[in-house]
Amino acid sequence: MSELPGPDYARNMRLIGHSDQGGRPDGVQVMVHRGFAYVGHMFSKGWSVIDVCDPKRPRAVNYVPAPPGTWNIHLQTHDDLLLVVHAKDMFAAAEFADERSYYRGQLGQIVGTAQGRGAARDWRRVFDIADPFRPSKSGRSCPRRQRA
Amino acid sequence: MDHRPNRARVIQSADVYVDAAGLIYSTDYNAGLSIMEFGG
Repeated sequence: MSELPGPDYARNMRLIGHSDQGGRPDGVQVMVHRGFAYVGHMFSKGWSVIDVCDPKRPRAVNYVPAPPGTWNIHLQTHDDLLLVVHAKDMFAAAEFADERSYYRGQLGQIVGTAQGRGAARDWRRVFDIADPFRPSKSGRSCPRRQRA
Repeated sequence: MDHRPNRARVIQSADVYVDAAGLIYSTDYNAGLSIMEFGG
């Protein structure tokens, strides 16, 4: 567990726990499910499992790397399943060497997903999280269906 | 942590989740996972 940072300003809120997520503090989407937080990473390319059964002492218990060229910024829990989206790593894409490109034009046109290019990188994978300490792959879905 | 060059090290809150007990879990891609409780 990391030391609790002091807030610059707080009202009616109290920080009770903090985690650097096993040295990967770049958390994006978070889902809390049965005492464990599942956190997607933007820069560390993968997702982490944080034991929050004691929220004052959160503890990173696992990290699952994303396939090359992808990042995990979206995930969703349900029962014993975790749906993870392996989307194109936009920061690694040559199209975004100049970040201003991200905000110009239509994103799908820029990265090619609108035309079906790069679709193979856009996967959704389902993990079995019945044992959060040892998540396992339970299947893989097809790329998003392209519009006709 | 945002390791891109010439990026300011600033707060980058990304997501928030509130559990059934009312605890608030918030991510920041420069600062990890924070867990908070509402004091009313």
